[in-house]
Amino acid sequence: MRVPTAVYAARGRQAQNEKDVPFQEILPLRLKNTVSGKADSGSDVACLQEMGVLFACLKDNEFVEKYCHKEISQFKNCYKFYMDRKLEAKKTVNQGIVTPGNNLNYKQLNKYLRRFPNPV
Amino acid sequence: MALRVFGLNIIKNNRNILQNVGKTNGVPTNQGAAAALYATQVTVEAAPAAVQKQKVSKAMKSYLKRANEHDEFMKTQHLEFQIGKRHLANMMGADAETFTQEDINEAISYLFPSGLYDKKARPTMRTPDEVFPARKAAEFDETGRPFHSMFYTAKPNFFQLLHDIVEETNKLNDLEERMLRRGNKPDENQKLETAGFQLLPKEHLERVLVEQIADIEYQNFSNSMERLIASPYAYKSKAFIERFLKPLIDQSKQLEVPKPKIDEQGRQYITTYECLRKTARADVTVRLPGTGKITINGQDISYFSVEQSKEQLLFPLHFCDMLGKVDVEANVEGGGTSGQAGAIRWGIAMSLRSFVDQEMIESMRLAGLLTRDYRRRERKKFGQEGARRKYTWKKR
Amino acid sequence: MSVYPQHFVDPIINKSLQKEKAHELSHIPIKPALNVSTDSIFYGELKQKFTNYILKEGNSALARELLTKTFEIIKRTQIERLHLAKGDKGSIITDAETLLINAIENTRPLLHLSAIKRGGVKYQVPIPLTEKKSYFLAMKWILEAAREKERKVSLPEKLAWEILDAACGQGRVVKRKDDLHRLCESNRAYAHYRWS
Repeated sequence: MRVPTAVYAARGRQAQNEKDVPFQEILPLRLKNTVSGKADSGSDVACLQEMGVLFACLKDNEFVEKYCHKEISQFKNCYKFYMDRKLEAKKTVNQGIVTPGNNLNYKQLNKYLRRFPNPV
Repeated sequence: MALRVFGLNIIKNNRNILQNVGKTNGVPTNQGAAAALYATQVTVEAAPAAVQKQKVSKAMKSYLKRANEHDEFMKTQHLEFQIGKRHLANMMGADAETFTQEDINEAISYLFPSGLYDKKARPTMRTPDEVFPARKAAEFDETGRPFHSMFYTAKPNFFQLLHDIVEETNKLNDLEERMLRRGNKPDENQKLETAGFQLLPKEHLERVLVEQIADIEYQNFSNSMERLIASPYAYKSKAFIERFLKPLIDQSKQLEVPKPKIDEQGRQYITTYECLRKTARADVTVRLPGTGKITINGQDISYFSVEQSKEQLLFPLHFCDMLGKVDVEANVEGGGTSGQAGAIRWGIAMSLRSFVDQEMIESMRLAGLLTRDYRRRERKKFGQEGARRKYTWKKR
Repeated sequence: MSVYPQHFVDPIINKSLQKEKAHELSHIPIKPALNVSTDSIFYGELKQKFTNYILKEGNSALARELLTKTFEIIKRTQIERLHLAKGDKGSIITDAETLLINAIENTRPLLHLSAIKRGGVKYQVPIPLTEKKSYFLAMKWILEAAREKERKVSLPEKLAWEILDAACGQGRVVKRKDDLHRLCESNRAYAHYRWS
């Protein structure tokens, strides 16, 4: 009798039998002591929220800046703060100088991992 | 303190590790440090007979050979230096016994005039001790056992230093913690003043340690020193820190201020020769009780037709509030308008130092009036339109 | 690419500023003062920068003369206005340098558009400007507007008009800035496209 495949599909694929396919440890089952720096390019997008607020205000006031002093100064401060942070990061984080915190650069992470490696 | 912020566990672990290191290294390092602090001299004595019978390691043998060779070499160098000095003294018609290094330099620049731009490339004669820097003495005994526990780091003195710094820092941290528990605060009056000091530069440190250090290692040194200095109780280990600090010279006191002379009319005056800027050259005389008269090559301030140059002349005078109180005479040649004005400005500022107080001199220095402007026209480069500008890029 | 070693510090001419930093700078060598800087009351940093933008082919004497003439014209027209005005004479500024500064502040853009290629399509993305760049753009626009003139009109005249217009928030330069802001606003959807 033909059983519709959908019946099996509902159960999901059955696991392989361990006897038929013995487990082989091709790579060691351990995490590496390094992380790659590829994904760490970071984005340059900053102050989107402030920009949105500023645009809304400008549009309401037909692009007359004197009615939007608060928004403009907020936007400027935000960007300045962002640039300062970036400059600071260039000096410390990108050099791999370790700082406390949770948002760590790959160089800092590597430094930590080298200090506390996985037990062999 | 970076270490202390990560959380208690890490501190404890680190402390333990550090303490262990201290324990294992403690005994031999202390001995080594006590024996000779960064031994620098090459001392070779013929091995005593008792030792000769013993087994001398290969390393020691080759070291002894090298040391002997070096000693021989230095001996001949010293001899040659003495002979050369005598020759020079003879040529200059001076007494060879009292011929000093300064005389040697003078004689060489007179007898072998060199137009080479780089001063290092010009002929010199110095004592062999200076020319061939000191080398380390033997760091191991006859059986080949090293004295220093960090011998195999290849830079034992440097790593010993790092170790000492960390030990000192840990000591201060412990002290701080104890004091905190007792509710004591560090003494504000004794606070370590490092504003006029600078860490030993790399070359200097290398000379002290008799070891070559890489840039990153120097970075490590300066980082750990900064950590030590930043501690609130840094004054407790002042003696240790000061060994690696170099006092900076107070910039405004660096140049001696000349005493004004008196001319025939009884006025004070100062002449500054060789005021240079670009290709202009001037000498400037400033006379103190004056009416603000300015003479440049026999003309008044209208010698300069450009407004900016006139402004430049008045800049130091106005800055010191001496406008109308002194007379200025200047002779200037070469260069263009702005160069000449710059040369005279520098001359006036330098001369005015004799007539104002120390505070004003410092103020003038901060305004950049007392620094000689060394900038010159940048040359045109080949393959480029000018000094920096490139040719317009054309695909073909 | 400086002649001076890196530890040399830029000179400070203002005496009150000097006092603040005197302690930390007492051991640090100072670069020489530039040959355009003085401690005269007629010296202004923004004014100096503007002169440098007027400059063509290194003729700084001419650039300076042009700006002086501009200031003269501004002063004359403002004083004329002051005399003609009935009541409320306090609101008319006659200081040319303040007017120039006002004009530049009024024409400073906040954002600009930069083309970014994503998937073969070029998007115009609004990007915030640094302070330095926005000052530069403002001054450049004022000068461009002033140079766009008939042959008979001299640069100082046209420049004076532009500065006077921009100082009270009118004129072509302010419009140009507003146009740029409008464009940025219409392209706001792409603002998150930035990277690099």
